[in-house]
Amino acid sequence: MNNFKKLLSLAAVLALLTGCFIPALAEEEYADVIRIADDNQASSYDLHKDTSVNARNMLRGTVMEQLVTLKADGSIGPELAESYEVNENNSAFTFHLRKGVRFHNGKEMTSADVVASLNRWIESFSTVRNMVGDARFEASDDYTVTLTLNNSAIMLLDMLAGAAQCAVIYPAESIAAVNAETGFIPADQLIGTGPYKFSEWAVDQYVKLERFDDYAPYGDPDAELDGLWGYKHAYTGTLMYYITKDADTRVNGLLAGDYDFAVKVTDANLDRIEADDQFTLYSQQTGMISLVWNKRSTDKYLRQAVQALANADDLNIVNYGVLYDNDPCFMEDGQLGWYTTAGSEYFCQNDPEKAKELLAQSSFDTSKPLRILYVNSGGAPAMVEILKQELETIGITSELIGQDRSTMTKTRTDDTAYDVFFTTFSSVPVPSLRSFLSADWAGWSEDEKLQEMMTAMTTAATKEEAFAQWEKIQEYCYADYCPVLMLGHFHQAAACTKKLTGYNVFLTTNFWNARLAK
Amino acid sequence: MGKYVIKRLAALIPTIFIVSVVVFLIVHLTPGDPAAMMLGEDATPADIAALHNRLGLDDPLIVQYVRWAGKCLTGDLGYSTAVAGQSVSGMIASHFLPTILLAVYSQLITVFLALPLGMIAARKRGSLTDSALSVFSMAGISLPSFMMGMGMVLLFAVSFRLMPATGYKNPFTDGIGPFFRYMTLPAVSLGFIHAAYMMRMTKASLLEVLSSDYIKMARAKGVKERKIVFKHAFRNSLLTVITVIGQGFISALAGAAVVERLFGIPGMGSLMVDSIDKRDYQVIQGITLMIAMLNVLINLLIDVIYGFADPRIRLK
Amino acid sequence: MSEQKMELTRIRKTLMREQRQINIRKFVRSRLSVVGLAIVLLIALLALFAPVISSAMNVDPYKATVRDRFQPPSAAHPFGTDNLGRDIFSRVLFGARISMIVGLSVGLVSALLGTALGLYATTNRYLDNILMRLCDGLKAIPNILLAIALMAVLGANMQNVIISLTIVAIPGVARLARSNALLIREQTYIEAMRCLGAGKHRILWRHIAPNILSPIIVQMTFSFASAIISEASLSFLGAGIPQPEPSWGGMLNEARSYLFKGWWMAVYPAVFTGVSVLGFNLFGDGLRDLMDPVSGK
Repeated sequence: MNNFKKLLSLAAVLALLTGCFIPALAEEEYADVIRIADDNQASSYDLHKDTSVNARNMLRGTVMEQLVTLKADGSIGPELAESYEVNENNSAFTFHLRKGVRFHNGKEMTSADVVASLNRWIESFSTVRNMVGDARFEASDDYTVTLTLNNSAIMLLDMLAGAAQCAVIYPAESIAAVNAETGFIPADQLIGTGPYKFSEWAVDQYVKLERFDDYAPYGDPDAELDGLWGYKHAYTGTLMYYITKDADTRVNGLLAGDYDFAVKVTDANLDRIEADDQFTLYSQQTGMISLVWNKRSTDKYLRQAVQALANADDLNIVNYGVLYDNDPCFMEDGQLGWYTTAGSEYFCQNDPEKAKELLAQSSFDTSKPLRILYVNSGGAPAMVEILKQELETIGITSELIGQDRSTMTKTRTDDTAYDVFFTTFSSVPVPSLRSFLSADWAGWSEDEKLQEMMTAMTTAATKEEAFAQWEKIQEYCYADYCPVLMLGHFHQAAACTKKLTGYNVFLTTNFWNARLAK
Repeated sequence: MGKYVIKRLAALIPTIFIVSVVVFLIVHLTPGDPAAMMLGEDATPADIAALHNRLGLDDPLIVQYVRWAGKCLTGDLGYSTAVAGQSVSGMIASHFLPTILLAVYSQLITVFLALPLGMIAARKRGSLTDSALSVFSMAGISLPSFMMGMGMVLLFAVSFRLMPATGYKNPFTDGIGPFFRYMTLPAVSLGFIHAAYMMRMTKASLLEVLSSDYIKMARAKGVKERKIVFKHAFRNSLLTVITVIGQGFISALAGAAVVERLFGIPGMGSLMVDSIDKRDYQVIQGITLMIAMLNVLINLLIDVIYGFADPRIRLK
Repeated sequence: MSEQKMELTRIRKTLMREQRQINIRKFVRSRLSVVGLAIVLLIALLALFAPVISSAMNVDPYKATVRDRFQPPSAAHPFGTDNLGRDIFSRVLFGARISMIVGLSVGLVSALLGTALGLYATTNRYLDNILMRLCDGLKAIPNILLAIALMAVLGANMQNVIISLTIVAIPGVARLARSNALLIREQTYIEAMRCLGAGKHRILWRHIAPNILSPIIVQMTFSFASAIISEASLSFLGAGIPQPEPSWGGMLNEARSYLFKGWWMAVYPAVFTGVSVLGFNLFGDGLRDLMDPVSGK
């Protein structure tokens, strides 16, 4: 400790004496590698197609960048675009590209790369395809691209900035190198413009990202990052993501000094980390916990009854421990632009009497069991078990259908096989991407009124109008239609050594400006 | 001898053929859809159907089998669907090392534990040591590897904090020290059940040899008991021991699935369990075929060694 | 003639009774086998009376009480409670039921089907070839991997655990039955039977089967033990009997996430699995010594 202080003061004196050498000196005190224990690997790391959180958290903004990206307040900031214009009725978009931005293969980014990338993105992403129809991106010169639609698309910019299938820009050569059999870009062609290169992927072991020296930063070097937007210093030379599927192993490794950062720390391990003052813990809302009703086999009174009955704490605690919020919003609390508590008085009311009254109005035959579908691993079985006991108090028996994930994903598309299924949803940038609100996703929210409101939201002329519509949708879902039994939001906790500073927490954790003291 | 080996090798062909049919059928009868798993939670039915078509999953089973088997014969085990663009052989190769190291390490522990104890039990037959050892070995045989592993984790990692509870270190990149620190608990829990078994077999075969006429002769000649056990008897019971080591290796490969999961080791066993979860057809097929092949080859090897040692066998 | 026959039957019965008495004495003299039998009986009794014992102790294996999560062992919950606040003691008792049912069903069904396959394999060269190659193929795939794969096809529930473990166990029994049946078939009295014109099935089931029974029975006790281990391993890997059924392996699988928070969740199911498997192994060893004096001594 003493030595460390001496070093610090020495550095301070030297810094005063030779102001211009500060960066060089500062760098020497930091480790050149940050070791991150990641919980899983993505199936491809091709962000246009891979919707997994692992791929997105690791690569978006780090290895590949987008035309626009999300700021902390949910607004949109230009990233690879210098600026952009949108016409009055949100149907024509023009992006002016930054000049002199280089890909990791040394080539300069031009409109050809952007057009090739974004049109592949549209082809791969049905929601956007529905939004834009037959329109595609076009290059008007080397540094300008446009998209002209027949209809208005208020949420297109949000999608470009924050969709789970990220609208990242690859060089045109990578798009041409797509593997015909799998449809994915091969790992050695995962090239972007970000501050780190995707340099090695040892399957089931690690992913290695290395600093890209020709990175062209944007924003103010002295300012903090604003969400995902801002100046990226890339202080640390190498980011190692070790694929460590077991939660205990990640924590053991962190405590033993094998890792500097551990993602997805489970509730059972919190005590161990808190007990050690060399480590920091933090958590953030990362998705919603819910049971999705099969609207073709249940009526709204049954759904309202269960919503009146449910005790969110009892259900959540057995799976998440303390890592959850009883927050009624269908979007996460970090998504400022869309956050609303409309309808929250209906959220899990823990009121058996009201539940019984509602159940009496339902056509549900209580002599038959309610079929609950879930994945029989992880925390779902425990939650379903508690729900079953709660349902018994109002005279509903349950049939528990536990299946492995693959089988369950298939079963839930069969409307005769179940009445309700348990699932969690990760964050989406716009509410229209909440799959349980869609008419053709499992559960089938085919309600005409809901779908009209959804259309009104997606085609609204201004964002304020869309938000007002969104509040009405959420209110309607809680008070009347009940497409899901909303239970709250789960938190993802992460832990790191206190020597790690400068990491940026927004939706996930970024290491662009992170430094690890030696 | 060469003829014998060739004959035995030829006999493997139908076995491997049956394994391939069995595993192919099992895999394709499994409900669930690799295309859906590949595209993630939010994929639309249309996207899934398109990928389905591209992967050739809509063809009749027999067509798919012939296509797969034909490729296998040329050494191409296909591509993983869960990890895009990865060849199955590449994936097997990268997961092979942890499993094989674990198996070898556990076999070493087994041999060093079981052989001396077995000999002691045979030499001091009927004594208190012998009874204690047989109770110990019986208990060992009854302990499933994951229970043994969990017990050791509770004891050495949770209570005494002597060793890490879970994790894997590659001896070539992370160093040999960390490797032993991380792999000793898994290796012991994998090898223990077999050590118990091997101890019993060593004892039994030693006793059998010790009661044979030539040992009696040696005793009559006044050869020291110690020399009789270690030089004469042990050498002759080596065959049994080799068989047991071979079997132990096979069962270590199989048992690795459970131990690897418990200790978070990225080996073939955990790859197999993962692949079943993700419906990664080609990988499941590839691994099963590969382990089955290893299995029969090890058995063949044991028989060949036997044949060298005991000409009566190869004449049969 | 008939008097002679009666006399012979009487002598045979006496001889058999004596043999039985010798056997029982021998079995009792090997203390470990008696210990094994006692363990097996004890576990069986616990399994049988699990509901009675649980209700007498006022605990319920399925009832979750969220505020009672992670209670260490106490008077109210002798083995503590789990992550849902369920009583582990009663879950362990009901777990014994699952283990016993799975073990017994797998042991019996695989013995029956395996013996039938082994016996019929000896009757026809082509059938023999096909069946034995099939057995070789199945045996070449490690048991636990084959069982996991089968569980993925069938879906996770107890009946399917029994089916897949039975499929996995059959080849071993079939091989054993076949090799023993081949030895018996060559014996003079079977040839005599054949010459006398006895039917194929009659010879197989009336004359060969009883004579290969002892190794099959010994094998059955070991199948029983290994079925308990396999069920636990499958449930441990999440491919066995799903929640909320209190299978020992499943309980261990849950306990794995809470080793640092509630060691008692792991210890009790583990001890019970180990002890009951030990019981069956000891018992099986005793039986083998009895039925096959050569390999035993």
